[in-house]
Amino acid sequence: MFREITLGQYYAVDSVIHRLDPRVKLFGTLIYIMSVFMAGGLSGYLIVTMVYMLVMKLSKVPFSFALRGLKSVVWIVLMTFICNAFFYTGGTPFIKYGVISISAAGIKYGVAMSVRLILLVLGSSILTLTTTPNELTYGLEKAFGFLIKFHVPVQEIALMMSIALRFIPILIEETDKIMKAQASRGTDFDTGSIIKRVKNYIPIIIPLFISAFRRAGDLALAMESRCYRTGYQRTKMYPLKYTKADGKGYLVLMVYLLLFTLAKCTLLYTGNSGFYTM
Amino acid sequence: MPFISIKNLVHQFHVRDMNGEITGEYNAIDDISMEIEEGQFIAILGRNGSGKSTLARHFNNLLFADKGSIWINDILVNHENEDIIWNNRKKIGMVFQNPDNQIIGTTVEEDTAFGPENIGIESENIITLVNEALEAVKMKHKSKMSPNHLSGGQKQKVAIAGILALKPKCIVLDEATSMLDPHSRKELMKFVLELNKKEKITIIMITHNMEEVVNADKLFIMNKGKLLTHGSVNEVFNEVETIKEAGLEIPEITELAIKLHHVNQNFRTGIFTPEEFANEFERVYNEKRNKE
Repeated sequence: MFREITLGQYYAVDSVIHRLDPRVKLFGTLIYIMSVFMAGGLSGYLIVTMVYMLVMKLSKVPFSFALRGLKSVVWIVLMTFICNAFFYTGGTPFIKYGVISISAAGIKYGVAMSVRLILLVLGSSILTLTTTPNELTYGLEKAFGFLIKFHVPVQEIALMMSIALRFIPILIEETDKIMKAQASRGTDFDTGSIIKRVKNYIPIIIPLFISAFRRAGDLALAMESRCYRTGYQRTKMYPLKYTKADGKGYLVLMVYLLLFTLAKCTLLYTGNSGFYTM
Repeated sequence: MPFISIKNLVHQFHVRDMNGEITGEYNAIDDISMEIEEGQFIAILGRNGSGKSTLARHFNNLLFADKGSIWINDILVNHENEDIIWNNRKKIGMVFQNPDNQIIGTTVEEDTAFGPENIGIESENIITLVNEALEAVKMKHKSKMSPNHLSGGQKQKVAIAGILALKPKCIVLDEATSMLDPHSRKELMKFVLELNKKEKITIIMITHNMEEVVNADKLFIMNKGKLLTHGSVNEVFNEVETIKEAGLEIPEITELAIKLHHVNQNFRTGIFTPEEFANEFERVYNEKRNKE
């Protein structure tokens, strides 16, 4: 059953966004994050939300599927809201009790921060929803390829990432096996104090480490026997090649960034506070 | 000129005590000499710890001789000359025991491409090589799949495809079937035999299962790092005592035939399948009846 785990949250469907080069998508994610940080006020958030909706529509990923990515950050969003709403000291508080002060401005600020966080998570999840982990690794390898000049082993790091991706399901399965083996010898994982329960995981972690090292040794031999050597320029079966669509993608992103910055600067200059402040 | 020639090879391992101090050394391979011709199907047999896997790693230049020498295509293996080593690894591929621990790529196709990518072949040529290799092992239809979804036998086939993509002259199978179920084991053996006959690829099979080696051209039996005996399947299988000394078991049907041969010299030895046994039994029985 553990073999069925899909890594990341790739949603397999053919769309304009899926076909884009991973480097374009990486760049796009960066620009989107920048624009979310620049945005402020109702109009700003409306624009970035609409951009998100548009890209989602293009990517053909069902919105409900994308929302699942929010599950893991729901507590962080909640904490952000509480911290901002209860401890905001700027506005005029209508409830004040010790350090807690709740004001209209604080609640507004908390909502804004939470929205910003949600948009950041949703926006960047488009990248992982439409790009396979492999493409992503290779995209990162290419995007950071310039670091080779500074003697950073980019190719090796990328290969390490892809090997890690391949072995995660295998190690999860192994953990499951070891847990069952230890449980059958009487290890109790579910009762006792927190410290006791953590201690109970030691007989799982040690065999897991030993087996992982053994696997690593085997794998290194297998790689060497297949002519792998470090510091030697490898080639790729499917090298990344920019298409016309990628060019258009870059263009759209640049225009978006330019317009967004322009709007922000104009509003700053004219002193229209609605767009950028709270 | 033999394809691989090993002369008085010795490989030493250090024996360490609890503190990691070297207290002695023992010879995992102790003065072995052998010659392997191109296109042969070779089997090297021995029980656990007999040194057969250590020997296998010498073919692929993963280990180097402490004493003695290895010649591949008449070129002496020298651990200081990297060009020779990389060239040899291209020519001689190796399939390991654990199917999971030798697949590097995240998809079948990517894993097959790993070898060609390492030696810097151009993209278009890699695609051709990979497709040919996957077709040869009949795994083309799974090329985009994750190796985690394959069975053990299929994973070993992918591992072989990864080697075939490098256009090798020889494949070393280091107990490659020992983690497979009997059915996949048979299928893999059949496939390896086909590779040997059709593609003329030299096969060196390392195993402790004597039933797998009945098709081999030449057998080598190892024990405690030494070569006990070698020869054709028929020759070696008749040395029942030597085989027992090596801690191996010959197939029951073969042993029964040898025993019958001792009773009746007319009954031939070198029988490996029940069908052969039945035919031989019928022949001897009919002969005897005709005489009477």
